[in-house]
Amino acid sequence: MMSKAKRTLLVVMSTITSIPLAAQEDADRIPADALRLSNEATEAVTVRSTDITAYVEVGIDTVMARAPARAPASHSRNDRVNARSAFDIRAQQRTDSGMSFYISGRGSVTAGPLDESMSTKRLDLREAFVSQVDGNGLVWKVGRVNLRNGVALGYNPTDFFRANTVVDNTTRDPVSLRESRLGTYMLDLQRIGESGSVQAVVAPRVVTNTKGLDDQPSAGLAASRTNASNRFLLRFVRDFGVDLSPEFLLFKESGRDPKIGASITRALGQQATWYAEWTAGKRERPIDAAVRFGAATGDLPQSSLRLLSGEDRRMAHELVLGGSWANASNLSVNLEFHFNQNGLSRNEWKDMFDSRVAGQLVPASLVRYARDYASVFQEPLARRSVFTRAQWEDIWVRGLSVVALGNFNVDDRSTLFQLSLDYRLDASQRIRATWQTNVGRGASQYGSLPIRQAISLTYVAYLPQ
Amino acid sequence: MSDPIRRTILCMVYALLLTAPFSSSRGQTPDEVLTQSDKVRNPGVPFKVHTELTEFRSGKSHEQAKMVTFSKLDPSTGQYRNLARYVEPTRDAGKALLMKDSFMWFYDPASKASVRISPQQRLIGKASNGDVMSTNLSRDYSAKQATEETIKDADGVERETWKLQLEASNSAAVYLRIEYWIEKKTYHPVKGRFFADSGRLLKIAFYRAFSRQLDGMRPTEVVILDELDRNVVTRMRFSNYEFFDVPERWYQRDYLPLLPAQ
Repeated sequence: MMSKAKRTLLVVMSTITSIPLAAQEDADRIPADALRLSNEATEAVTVRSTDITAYVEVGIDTVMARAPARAPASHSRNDRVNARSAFDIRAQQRTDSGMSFYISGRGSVTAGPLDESMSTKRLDLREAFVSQVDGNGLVWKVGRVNLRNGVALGYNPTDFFRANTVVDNTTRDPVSLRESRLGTYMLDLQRIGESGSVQAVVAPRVVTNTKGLDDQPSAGLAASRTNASNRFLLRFVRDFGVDLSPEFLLFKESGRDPKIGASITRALGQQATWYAEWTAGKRERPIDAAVRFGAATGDLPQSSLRLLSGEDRRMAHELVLGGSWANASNLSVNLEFHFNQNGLSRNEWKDMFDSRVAGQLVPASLVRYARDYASVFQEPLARRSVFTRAQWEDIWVRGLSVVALGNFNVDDRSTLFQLSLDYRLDASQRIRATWQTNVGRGASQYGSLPIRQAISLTYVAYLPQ
Repeated sequence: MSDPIRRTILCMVYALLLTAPFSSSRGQTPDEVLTQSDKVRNPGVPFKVHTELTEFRSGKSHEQAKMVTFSKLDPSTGQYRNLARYVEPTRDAGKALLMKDSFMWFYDPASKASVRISPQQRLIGKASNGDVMSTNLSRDYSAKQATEETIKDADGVERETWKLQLEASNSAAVYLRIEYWIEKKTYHPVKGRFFADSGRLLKIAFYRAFSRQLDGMRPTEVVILDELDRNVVTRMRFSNYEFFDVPERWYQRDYLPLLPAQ
């Protein structure tokens, strides 16, 4: 056995010799190419007046349908495999005067979209606007603008321009869905000061939406989707000190009562942030809204108006409370509680699947229609739900990331779950595999959806500028 | 946190850290050395700089990104407030980051969303650069010890240095401790080793390619060894330093989509 003195000597010698060795090893790990001196003339940032981001995407979706389901589906419920392809472009041209021209669009062809409620061929003009910013912080935009408000991740009550804007349903990830949605034709004026900003938005009614849910425009200006009513938004952001910059909103849509809203986000120690987002205003019951829209567009017979609950619009609050947490191992997690006072209670879900709404017997197809309407117009049907999203980057190998998300309906205990693996092949190519499933009893929000599971494989290649 | 955020943070941290030639300090306490070095490090004027990040995997260049960074001292805190806008690669163009005090916002032009980032998320990523915000190290760290040591710099040249042991002194410090080597003759930063709260070594940074920028000799390259993935080395290269009076309103999160690309 080694003596104590020997061990001590060995430890001391090891400590002494390890210091310069460690330093030397550090420097030796630097690749020779990383030490190549720069040629500033050729390697500085290239200044461009035009930015173009474009990519092509090809993929294949496998859908496993659910049978039988309590809520009848309006479309095919067979298992199926669909191929799809898309071209996506965003371009911005700037001038020396501070003016910018921006256009963004996406064209796609598919043998059959995931839920078969969308057109197989699409050419969507997402955004097209002119903007200018001056030295005093005055910003204006005119044209089709994708304006999004809110600090939450899974659902944004203050995102007042979200209705009928989603044009891609290959994913349920709200982060991805926001990237492909349509903007709204509007005039957007904003003044950004040193301690806050004020913004006024006017979005006029261009044309009334007279087309049914399955006939929404899939090409061209598609103004009936995004500008079917007059809307006005006033928004303030104000700094009240370090890390305290709440935003306040006032929104009015023609034919509806005004809404007010607010949001705030703050740090919670070193690893977390918390946030809250809230709106309030008098609202129509979601089934009533669907019936009224269906009767107006011809999706439902006029006689269906008898199914209206007869209830007045009532004050309803929407609230999202959430937080994000991250650690040093590339893992970040968001957890949110969503409350929608206008959503369906546990008994209302049960009644709906028993073909009863507000005490009246209704056709089973109305249940399906109300749900499709809520999906298209992005009105949450659930009263209480919990949303979580976890993202783990560079997991296992560099460039591989995992995103898992779930949306749990607290009242009927059904769940939407999605898992995505994304691998970055290089700076311009990536591949993605996504699995989504809807779990729950047959008479539940997600358990009744016609898609039981879906698996998507996608390849994306960015084009050089 | 996505790669663009991490790269941007990495860029901004080192855009500030690299401007850190230390003053002569014989007879000074370690804290005085650190304070003096902070004074020299901070140019004292707002500026913008072009930054190129190159990631090497297993010794080979793998990915590259370029961005424009705007920095300005906050007179009330003595710390830099930073803005960065991606120029390349194509998929990241237009993404922008705001770092002010202890909070950060990240803007993605694709989703039109500005997302709040926690202080810990500054530690996530290739080079785990949580010190990005703390260019004024004497504010967030105390120097407990200064020793003389001869080490090799990034190019293998031996340098006689002061080795400072920096320990976090307040909640704004995102590293538990930092080992920092400063060349005695020129007071250039040579190397830094950065440790997480757990005591784990996160990264090693080497400063090199000193040249005259913004009225001072400053390193124009930082080479970062990732200790979480030892196959990865990131090189940050800074060019086109320019005095630039960053307007205060640019530090509002609503301004992120409007940041210029040059």
